[in-house]
This record gives sequence, C-alpha cells and structure tokens, in this order.
Amino acid sequence: MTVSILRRAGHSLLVVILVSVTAVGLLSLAPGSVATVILGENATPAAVAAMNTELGLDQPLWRQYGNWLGRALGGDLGTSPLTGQDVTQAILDRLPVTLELSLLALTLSVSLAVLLAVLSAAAPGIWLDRVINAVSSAFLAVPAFIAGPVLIYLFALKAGWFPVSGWAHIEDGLGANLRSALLPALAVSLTEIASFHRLLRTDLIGTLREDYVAAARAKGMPRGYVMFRHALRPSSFSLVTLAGISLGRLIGGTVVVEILFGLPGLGQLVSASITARDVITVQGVVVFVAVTYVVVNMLVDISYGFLDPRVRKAARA
Amino acid sequence: MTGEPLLQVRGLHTYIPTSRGVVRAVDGVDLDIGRGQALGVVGESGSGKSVMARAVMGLLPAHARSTGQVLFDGVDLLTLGRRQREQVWGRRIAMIFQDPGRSLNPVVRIERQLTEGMRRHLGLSRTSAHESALRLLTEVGVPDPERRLRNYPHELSGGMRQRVMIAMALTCGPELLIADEPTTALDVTIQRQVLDLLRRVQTSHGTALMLISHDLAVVAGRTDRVSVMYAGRLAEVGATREVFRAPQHRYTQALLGATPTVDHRRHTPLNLIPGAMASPVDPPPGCRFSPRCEFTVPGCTRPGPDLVRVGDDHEVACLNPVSVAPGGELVGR
Ligand SMILES: Nc1ncnc2c1ncn2[C@@H]1O[C@H](COP(=O)(O)OP(=O)(O)OP(=O)(O)O)[C@@H](O)[C@H]1O
Ligand SMILES: [Mg+2]
Repeated sequence: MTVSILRRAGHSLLVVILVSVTAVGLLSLAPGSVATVILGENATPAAVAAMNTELGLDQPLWRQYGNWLGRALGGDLGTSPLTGQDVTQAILDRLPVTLELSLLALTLSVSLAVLLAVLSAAAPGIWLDRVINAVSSAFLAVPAFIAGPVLIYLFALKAGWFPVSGWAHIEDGLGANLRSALLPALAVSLTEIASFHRLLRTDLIGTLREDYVAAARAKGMPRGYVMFRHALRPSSFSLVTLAGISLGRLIGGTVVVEILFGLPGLGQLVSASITARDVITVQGVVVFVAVTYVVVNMLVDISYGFLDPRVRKAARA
Repeated sequence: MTGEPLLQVRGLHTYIPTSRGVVRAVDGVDLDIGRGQALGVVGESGSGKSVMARAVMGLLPAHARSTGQVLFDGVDLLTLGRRQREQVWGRRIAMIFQDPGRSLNPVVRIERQLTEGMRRHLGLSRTSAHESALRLLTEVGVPDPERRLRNYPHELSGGMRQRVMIAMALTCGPELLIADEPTTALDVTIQRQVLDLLRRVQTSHGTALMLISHDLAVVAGRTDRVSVMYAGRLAEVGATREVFRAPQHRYTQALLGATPTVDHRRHTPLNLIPGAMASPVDPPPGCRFSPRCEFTVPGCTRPGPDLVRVGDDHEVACLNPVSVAPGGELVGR
C-alpha cells in the first residue's frame, strides 16, 4: 500500500515537472521578453539587455528553470517582474473565481447528466430517449467558445436574465454571484453533460439488466427508488473517473470563458501573463493547475472505496 | 385444499422479438398451484422456464409480449397496471432468483435489501424492520445475523447469500414463492441444505411454491405436483410421485434417464438426450420433441398434441406415451 502511494506520488511529481517544462519551453519559442513589455516598444536594445540581466533572463534556459524549480519546491513561486506581485498571492487572489466556476460547471454537468441519463435509460429507444440523445449529441459538438457567445446572446442580451459580463463577488450576495457564474459555467458544461450522459446511460442500461435490479423490482419497490437506490450507484464508477478527469478539463475550459465573460479568474491571469511574456507567473499558474489536477485524480481513486464496498475491502487487505 | 387454486395460468404465450426473429419462449402453458401447494417446473436449459416465471411475475423487458391469463387469487396479473403489480410483488408473490451472487445488489448492505420491502409494504419502522430481519435470518439458519445485516453481499458465502434471498422472499409473508433454479449456482453439498430449507419454510409458512429446475431430482421429494416443460410447451403434468413412478412422455422418460444418481457430480451438465433443444424461433411442427424422439409415430409432426388425462392427476401430451404399446393399446402400468 505505502509502496504504491510512494510510486504514485513520484509519478505525479514527474507529471507536474513535465507540464511546467513544456510550458516554459513553448513560451521561450515566442519572440520578445517581459523586459520589452515593461520598458515599452521604444526601449533601446541596451536597456532591454540590462533589464534582462537584472531579471536573470540572460542566463541559459535550463539554469533559469532550475533556479525557479528549486525555489518552487520550497513553496516559493517567485515574484512577477511585471507587477511586482508575489505569484502565489496572485494565484490565491484569482483562485476563488476559477474554483467556483469549475465546481459549479462540474456540479451542473453531473446533475444534469444524471437526470438525462436516468430519463433516457428508463426506457431506451422510446421518443424521450431519442430526443435526449439528439440534444446530447448536439451539446457534444458545441465548444465553450461557441456556447459562450450564444448563451450570452440568448439569456443575457435577449432575455436579460443574466449579466452580459463581469463578476459579482459572494460578498455582493449569493444570488448575484450565482447569476454572474451560471452562464459561463453552463458554457463549459455542455460538452461534459453530453459525454457524462452518454457514459452513464450505457452503464445504467447495463445495470438495469442485472438480476439484482429485477430482484428489487420483484420486491415491489417503485421504479424511481430502484433507479436511484439500486441502479445509479453501481452504474456510476466510470462516471466518477470521467468527472475527475474532466475537472481538469473544466479548469482549462474556464480559461476561455473567463476571457469571454470578463471574469477575474486564473484564466485571465494566465492569458495576460502570456501576452506580457511573464514567464514566472505563467509557470506558477501552470504548476498550480497541474498539481490540482493530480490531487483531484488521487481523490477520485480514493472515492471508489466509498462507492464500491468491494474495492474498499481489497484496499484494506 | 379447497376452492380455486391460488395461481391459475391459462394459455400463456410469451413472445420476445429479437434480431433473429420472434422467440416463442412460452407457447401455450397452463398451470395450477393450490394454496400451500408446491409445484415443480422441470425442463432442459432453454425450455422457457425462466421466461414463464418472469411472465407470471410481469418482470420481462417491455418489448416481450405475453398473452393468455395469469389468475392470481382470481385477478389477472397480466392486465394489472404497474402500480397495482408493485402491490403484489414482494408482498403476495415473492421470487428467488437463480444466482444469489447476482441477485443481491453488491453496493447495498444486507440490512437495507432485507428490510426495504417490509418497510414499504408493511410500513414497519426502522427498528421493527430490523427485529424482523434478525428473526428471519435466524429462521433461515444464518449465524450471527446482527453482523450479517451490516455486511455487503460479497462478504457472504454463496449458500449464505441464498439463505438471505430466501429470508428476503419471506419478509412480507407472501402467498406464493417462485424459486427459479435456486441452487444451480451453489456447491453440491449446499444445494441440498438450501432446498430442504426452502421446503421447510414453505410448509411452515403455508406458502405455495413454484420450484423451477432443470433437474428432476431436485423437485422429486419436495413438490406435490410437477409440470414438465419442453420448448415453451408442457409435455407432462401430474402428481410428482405419479410422474416419477410412471413417466408417460418420452421426454420425461429421457430426462429421468438423464438424472444423475448419487455417484454423479450433480453440477456437471448432463446432456444424455441426443440432439439439441428445438429452436424457439422456428419450432418444429407438431410435437416439439419429435425431432429428438426415438418413438415417433406418423401423427407426431401434425399440429398438437394436447394434454390427455392418463391418470387421477396425470396428463401427458404424447401420441405414443411410454405405457402404450406400439399398437396403441394401453398396457398395465
Ligand atoms: N430477454 C430475452 N430476449 C430474447 N430471448 C430470450 C430472452 N430471455 C430468454 N430468451 C430465450 O427464451 C428461451 C427460453 O429461455 P429461458 O431462460 O426461459 O430458459 P430456461 O428454461 O429458464 O433455461 P435455463 O435452464 O438455462 O435457465 C431461450 O431460447 C432463450 O434464448
Ligand atoms: Mg432459467
């Protein structure tokens, strides 16, 4: 058990480092540096070179990365040369927005997908199932950057139910906060709803053929009870895996909608930093997201034990 | 036994459309089970026993079509709506499935599975349902019932699981118990214990029993009457002792010949009857056993035959039954 946890942790660390190396590598391919951004277009090459030396950007890439990694492992993600802000602090400032959006998107995706899957698996092949399948296929084809503007047009501009853009903090009231978060969350959810629905529908249909479902029906338990008490949980193992994986995808997806809807989250931070060649901040955010992703996946694995008593026993043994 | 039988099945046909064509799984079956009586239903694999049992319960997939009558206490179950059926299921008719490893929900504790029916049908509180569950588990011979209630199915042995299934079937004091091959998935030594338990609770609770098996030996000492099924039809019906003493249908005779003796390992599938089960999609005309029968006479491929009374409580659907000489005269049995 401990060996497997250690192996897991080592593996995760490797993933995180690979991700950050890739991010830095890609960014270094782009022309220009943060010095140009700080000093402006008209700065003399000498001034830019001086600034680069001051920031340590004249050193070879591997040494820059090594220095950064050494400090990062100690918990210090550095300071943005652009804003002078501590990167960890910048992340923590933006995190609530991204976290709320991602979790709201995940909640929306899972609950809507469960509802749709239960409705369509109850009687596969009838008109309701076909309508739901059609809608679900349509969702699958709509990425967030298309769903976002469409949702804004329909429900913000036309209907006026939601703000067109901007973010209301929780301190301004939960209602206002949720109203500003719902459309962006829905925009990133659509594809997830569709893929969750497909997966759960298939698994549910399989489970509903099991003898224990017939046995529960034969006890006279009502259909809804059998569906939710007996069929849903044993059908949801692969959904939990997929939902865990897609939480990472949702965090990525929120980057796009944060920009579309003008929300002050990590997405805006990272896109602004990329434009400014602020490598330190980009690295910090990327590593933070990667670590979150890895941790979430670990939690997903642990959660199997709660869903399936057979796994719990095997893990204890 | 007085009055009407508890269960009267009349002209039951169950057709299931599939990609291979329409499966005529049950094709004209009549059954009677009196109150407190035990009926064995016997036939080879694929003869339609499970489909028949599920059709009686109304548990088949929605696309299966059942026609005929399933009169339970005078009410035709086939015409009942879903909600009315849910009032019968578990409360008045309970079913025990073939494989206890698959008929208990792996992610639900035994306690909930055992008590949910009582709580719904009898409106018991959590504590009294718990008490009831303990009593039932003790009755069916599950040791340490308090701990078993907290277990998940995988923590129990196969025999224990089937005992739990029997306890579960008894929870609401049903009038009819349908047991579809309740011991096929169990070890030989456990089989007998579970079957004897089933017979014991059946007599002590005064419950009627439909005991389905492909093995004549299973129903032999444990049922009052037996129906022999072949390819969706009845071959022979009668008092169990009578059918055993003097089987009339050539299929029953062959089945009896195929029944293993004590020396035989009972769970090795025996297929001593040459040939294969008739196709349920495109059954042979006339007697469905005729292609495999050594004793056919010219009429065997014409439509029919119907059940004909040959004894006090003994009917057979065979044009050339065992105790009739080739000439057609009934010889002394
Ligand atoms: N859901 C279904 N869809 C299509 N065909 C089915 C279905 N269930 C059963 N059948 C077919 O109906 C016929 C009778 O099957 P059934 O399960 O009733 O046999 P059985 O007598 O119970 O056999 P066994 O001893 O193997 O349990 C078989 O040909 C089977 O393939
Ligand atoms: Mg069967």
